[in-house]
Amino acid sequence: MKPSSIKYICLSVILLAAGLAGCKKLLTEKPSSFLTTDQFYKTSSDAELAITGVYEILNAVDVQGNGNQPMWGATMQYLTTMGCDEQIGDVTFLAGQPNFLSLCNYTYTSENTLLWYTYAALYAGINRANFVIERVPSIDMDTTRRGQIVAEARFFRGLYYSYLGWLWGGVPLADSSVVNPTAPRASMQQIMQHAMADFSYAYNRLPARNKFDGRVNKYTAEGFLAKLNLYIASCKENNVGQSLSFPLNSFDWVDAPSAYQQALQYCKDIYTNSGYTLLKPFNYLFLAATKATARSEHMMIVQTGPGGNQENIVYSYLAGPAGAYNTTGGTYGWVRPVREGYNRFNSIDGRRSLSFSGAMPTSATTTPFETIGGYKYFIPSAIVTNLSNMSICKWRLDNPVDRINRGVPNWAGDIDWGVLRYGDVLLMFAEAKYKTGDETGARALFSELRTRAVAGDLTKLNTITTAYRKTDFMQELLDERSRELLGEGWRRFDLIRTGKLKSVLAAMDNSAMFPREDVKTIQSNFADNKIWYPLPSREISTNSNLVQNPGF
Amino acid sequence: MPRLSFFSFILLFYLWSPTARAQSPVTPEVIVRGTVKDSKGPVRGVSVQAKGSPITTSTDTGGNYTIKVPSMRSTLVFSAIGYGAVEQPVTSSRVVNVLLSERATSLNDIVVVGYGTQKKGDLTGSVSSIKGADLQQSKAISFMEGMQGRAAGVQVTSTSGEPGAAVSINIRGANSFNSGTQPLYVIDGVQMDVNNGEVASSGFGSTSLSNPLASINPADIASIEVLKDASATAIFGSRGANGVVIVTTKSGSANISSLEVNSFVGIGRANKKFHMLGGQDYADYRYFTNPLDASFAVDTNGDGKPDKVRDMTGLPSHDWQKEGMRDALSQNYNVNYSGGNARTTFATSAGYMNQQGLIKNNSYERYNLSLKINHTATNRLKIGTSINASQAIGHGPASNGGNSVPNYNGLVQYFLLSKPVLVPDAGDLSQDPDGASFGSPIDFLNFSYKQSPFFRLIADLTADYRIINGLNLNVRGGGILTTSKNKEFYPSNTSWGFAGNGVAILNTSNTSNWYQTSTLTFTRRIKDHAFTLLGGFELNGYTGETFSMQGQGFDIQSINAVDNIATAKILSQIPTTNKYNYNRVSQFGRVNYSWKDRYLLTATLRRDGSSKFGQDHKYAWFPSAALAWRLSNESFMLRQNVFSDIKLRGSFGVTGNDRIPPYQSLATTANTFYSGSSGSATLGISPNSFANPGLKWETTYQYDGGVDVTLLKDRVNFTADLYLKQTKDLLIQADVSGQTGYLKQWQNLGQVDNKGLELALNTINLRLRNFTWSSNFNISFNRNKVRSLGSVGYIPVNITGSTISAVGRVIKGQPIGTAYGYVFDGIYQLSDFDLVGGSYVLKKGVTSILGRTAKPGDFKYKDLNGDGVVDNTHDYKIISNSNPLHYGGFTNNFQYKNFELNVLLQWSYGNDILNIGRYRYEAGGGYFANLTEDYWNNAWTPGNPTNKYAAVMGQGKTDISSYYVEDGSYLRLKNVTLSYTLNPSFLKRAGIAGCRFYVTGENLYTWTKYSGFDPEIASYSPLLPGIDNISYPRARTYTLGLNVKF
Repeated sequence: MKPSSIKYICLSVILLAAGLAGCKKLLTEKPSSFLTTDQFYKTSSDAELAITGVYEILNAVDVQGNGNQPMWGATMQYLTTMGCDEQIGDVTFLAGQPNFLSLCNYTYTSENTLLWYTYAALYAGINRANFVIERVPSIDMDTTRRGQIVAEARFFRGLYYSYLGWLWGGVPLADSSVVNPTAPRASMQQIMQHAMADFSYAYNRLPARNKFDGRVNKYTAEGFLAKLNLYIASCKENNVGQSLSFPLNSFDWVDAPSAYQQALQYCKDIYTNSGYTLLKPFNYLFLAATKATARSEHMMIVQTGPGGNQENIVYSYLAGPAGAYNTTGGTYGWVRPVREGYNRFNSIDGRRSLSFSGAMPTSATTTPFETIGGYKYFIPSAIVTNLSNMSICKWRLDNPVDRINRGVPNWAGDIDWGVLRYGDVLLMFAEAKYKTGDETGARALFSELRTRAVAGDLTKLNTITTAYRKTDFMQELLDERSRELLGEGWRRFDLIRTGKLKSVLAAMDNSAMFPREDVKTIQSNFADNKIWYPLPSREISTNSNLVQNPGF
Repeated sequence: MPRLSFFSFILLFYLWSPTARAQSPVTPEVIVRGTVKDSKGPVRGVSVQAKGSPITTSTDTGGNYTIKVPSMRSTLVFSAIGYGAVEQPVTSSRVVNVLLSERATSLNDIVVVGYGTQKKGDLTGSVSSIKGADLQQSKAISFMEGMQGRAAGVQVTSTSGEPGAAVSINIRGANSFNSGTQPLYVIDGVQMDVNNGEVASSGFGSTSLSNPLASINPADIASIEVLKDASATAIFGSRGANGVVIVTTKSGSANISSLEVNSFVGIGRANKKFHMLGGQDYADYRYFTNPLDASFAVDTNGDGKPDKVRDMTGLPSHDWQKEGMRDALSQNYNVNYSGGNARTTFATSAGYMNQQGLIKNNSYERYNLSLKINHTATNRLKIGTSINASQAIGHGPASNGGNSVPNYNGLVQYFLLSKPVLVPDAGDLSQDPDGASFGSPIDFLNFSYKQSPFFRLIADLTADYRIINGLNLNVRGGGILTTSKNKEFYPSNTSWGFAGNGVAILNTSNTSNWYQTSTLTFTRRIKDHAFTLLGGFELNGYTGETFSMQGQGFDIQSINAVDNIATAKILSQIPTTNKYNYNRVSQFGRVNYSWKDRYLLTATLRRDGSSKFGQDHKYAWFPSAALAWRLSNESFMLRQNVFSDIKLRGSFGVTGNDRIPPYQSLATTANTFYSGSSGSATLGISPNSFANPGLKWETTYQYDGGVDVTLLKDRVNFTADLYLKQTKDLLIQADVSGQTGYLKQWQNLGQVDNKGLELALNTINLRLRNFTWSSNFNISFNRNKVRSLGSVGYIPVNITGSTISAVGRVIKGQPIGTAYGYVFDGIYQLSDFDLVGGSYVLKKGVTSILGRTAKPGDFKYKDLNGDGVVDNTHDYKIISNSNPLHYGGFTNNFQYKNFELNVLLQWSYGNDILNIGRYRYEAGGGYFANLTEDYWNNAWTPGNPTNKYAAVMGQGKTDISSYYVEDGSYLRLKNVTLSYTLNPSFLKRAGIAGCRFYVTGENLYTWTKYSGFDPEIASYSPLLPGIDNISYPRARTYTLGLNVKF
């Protein structure tokens, strides 16, 4: 063997071995287009970005690439508004939306993907909040702001727990950024108490108004404290779910009088100190043109806006004047009102004409329009006598062409969605007053809302006060809540917590008002267990420790 | 000089022959001449080598050669692909003439295996070979389609008839849940994964994938080897689990300058058409569904209410398939020029191809340029380089539907579903009586713009150094660069652009992939023991970058807005970039050992590291071993002459799969925007996935037993293989419980088994003086079964682009590729109901449907749990299986004098297709959608109480049910080629070395019961390949070609 051969053998051995040293580095992943959670949560701006991420869940288009508008962008609206005597799905139009249709008529099963996406989105929100709660306190930044950010995160964790509890009952607790994937369900009591603890924390540390317009503050937290207390107190009082013998979702632990008392205190504080007022006129709460001024009443909104990130709500899927979404700003007509909701109004109650209309004509050139705050609103047709064209028109979309020009698709809208508003607090205050023995004070609060409804006309106020008067105060309260908060996501919960959902559904007029109305299906498919949604089957298949809600 | 073993000869042959031109260290003393012929005449390009030395030359066009050999005792070795090697000692006349026999001793064929070559007879693993000539019978765009029906165990399916559409190749069944079910491609030693993401795509209005390997020119390919069992693939370790396809391109030959011109033109026509309703029938349908629609009804009695269907006489009635589709022309030109001298050879090729789609304005163009140079620098050092550049351009608007409301339907769907009458004038959508979302598909086709060029450059450099005889160092390095840009513009006069006042989309995708491989090969033969040792080290890095944005609201549309996207009023998708990278590090070794050429052993061991896995799981070992017994070489077999070869093979091996997106073991964050106080979106950052530090390799354990039999002097060749593949720790993006805050996570779970039998039979049925008939038959049986899913109950299969989206499930105990839904049980008949107060009420005992008030004419389903009510939690079951019972191909080749006829039949039997496109043209896809005549004429009515079709207004059309499951079996006359080769003697005077004319017909006839456009379907979801959502029709093509060599 020649010496040169030896040289080359050595060289090749070196070559073969080369790189082994550099391998470790080569195989270590260094992401370019995103941060890992360990790289993030380091600076004050990281803290701001992280809390914005917690808000994002409110109208997330999807969560981690899954689902389609699982929250207030669309699905949360279905889960909170359908299946009671305010709105109904149009069977024909929803034939292609079987998951949504089944939410409208109580035929859903645990396979329903919309349920899964919303359930997962709520937990994704909790997870995001948990990261803020755990990681932000060690960031070196302005301590006041740091405390507020953590408190905002606690608020949202409380909010997301609340909705999980309201929709499903007791669910697994997730109080850390690392959650046991097979943890069993906690009880309704634990979920409600966790939510209240989070709201209390937020209430005690948040300022009266957020540094960022449109975000939550101490009164938002207080409003939800009132909500939760009324919810558990009335559930206890009305034996909600008791016939189902399902201890996990039991309200036996609740001290109803003390919860009403709590609610009263919270509402009173908001009423006296918060500075929130009733916005006039009523419909300015529900228009994109007036959304800045509406914040004088909205205590918590899902904020919308133009731009390429779909910061909007898919109003064309929701209630609204049916027809011509792409020329005059109607909707697909998937969701229509039922006559019970309409009939609760007196004809001189201004809220009726602002809440209901006929369908939306197609032609952008011949349809009349009005201009509000520089926005062009086409005017839907009048309601015909047999109500067959009736639509809800509380939320109205302006000219689709203008929307497109500001970056909102013609099937969506940039109207902020009010989750909690001062008007609701007045009604909660009334309920708490009544439950703590002050019926007169309670009725006085109705007047504040009805005064706005009749634009301050005292004669009309008297007329409707008489017309609406019911000896059963709670009945009148529920009616008033439906009139004031029609379609805003509370009626179904109100009927559940007062134990009235079953009887209200049974009493619904099941003759068809419009050709594809199908009340009968709702009536025949409702059962006592349907006050809770079923846990999504995928949750049960991924966590065998979960117990399904009764009857699913 | 030590005697080189046969193995090293093979290695040298692969690397350098017929191009190696080493200078002999000893002054040659003997000049030998001769002519090499085969049964037809002189053969050129045959490698002639002095055995045991690097001295090599090759024959010229006349088959003549001259070689200087060291001594009179030398032996010459003559070899060429497609011929058996022949050894002849030098005779005193110094003239050695040789007659080569074509494939006569196919066992001496050289087969390319991982990091080397082997004689076919010495293989211990399961390898199928396809010759370039067979491949080129196919006039398809990509070589992958040309492989269809040619090799056992290789299932080739092109996703649709769209030019340049993705092709799915499954070797021995699907053994992965993720997208990485495609084999590894090794093109001239350069390893490539198929990453459909390399071709930029917006996904807007199109769920179809493009085939990045369509940029490789099939005309450049000399041969393809498919490595199937683990013994063959394990040397590729991490990347071999789905099998390996080795592509070898043509090389130049020394002392022969060859110019070859290849061109063909073809014409294609859709092999099927749907018969949709014409104008008046459509009006009847619309009047039936809505008698009040003033567009389709007239008021005859003057009461202001329409009462009679409108007479459409005189109004144009459109047949969109006819108006929007065409006879598609294709043209292909190819020039190969190769040559060289004793030290250097080269081969270059340039090609241009343009294939029109069946849909107007849709076409696929490709430009190719390649250069391959081999050079013998010294008698020890050989270097080579190859460069391959290609540009492939897809033209034309999206042809299949997207996944959201305005772009649900693409052109193929529109051709079927668009209404035939009352169509708005060109460019004036607002006249449409059904709302401006629906216009004429011809407008859409004419006004939309889409172009997606894809450029790929492969540059490879290799050096081989003979350290001592028998010991070679090979170093290879290079890179693959791709760049792709997708531009789309849907102006406001198209249905997709109307709502946004024009939509413009821009995407780019760039990737760079570099690699470096070093191998040491040692070959030695000591008496009866022959062995080759291989050791190697490999590095591989891949970086990809994408960009996308979308603008809307264009006031200026007289120029293509995507070329001036700044004029967009809004960005409906903000500019988004993504960069990703992954690396692999590998060490490997292989031993080939044979004793007396009777007992063969191959053992490999590879250690792979992939950056994609958790910190402590990046590396894995992939061993394999194979044994073969050449029974025919035993002494007791020497006396018989029926069997020329009998070989028994057995192998076991482990291979891996890491084809998941990078960074999946890390805890990632994502951008999550929320509207700010000013109304514009502000950035938020949110946790997006949770860490899985235990993420590790998906591992396949494969057992293979095979037998190769050659008998009757090679007239019959038979190969059979039985195999079992068990894939464990499957990589899957599994559902995790929502309480974690996450929806999915990449995990290792479960086990999938594939077992099967492959048979291949090559026979020369007749060999007469002027006539030869040979055939090749191959058939594959594969059974796929999910053995375990870990803790997961099932894996849902969802698709986009349809109202029916939850279409299937992967369930333990079932194969991958199953649809999951109701069992169709006919139609609700009037007799199932009582008439109560004017409405139909189901009789007692008749199954009802949860959440639906059943009506006569609705779909009825089987109540599987017998509770009287059909619901989607208890009454769903597996309703289809995409996997065929068997598939294969049957080729017959007839040669008569200068004529050659090649006929390929190809089939798939026993597979189901979920034809969900059907609901759209059976009155389930919206009131405006047109219907097939078949449906409209046979739909359920009280007077036609059929159990076959639902009523026009019947419910259940968008349920997932076995109604939509059809038998997808087919037998296809895939390719018929008739060619004529002109006599060389006749041509010689014109200076032409060879000339061949041919006519090819493709997809000439398909025997199938399937009702859709075409039964060959491969959806983009590997978990349910057999699903058809009205896919692009496939063309029947006639091609005329000419091949001239100078």
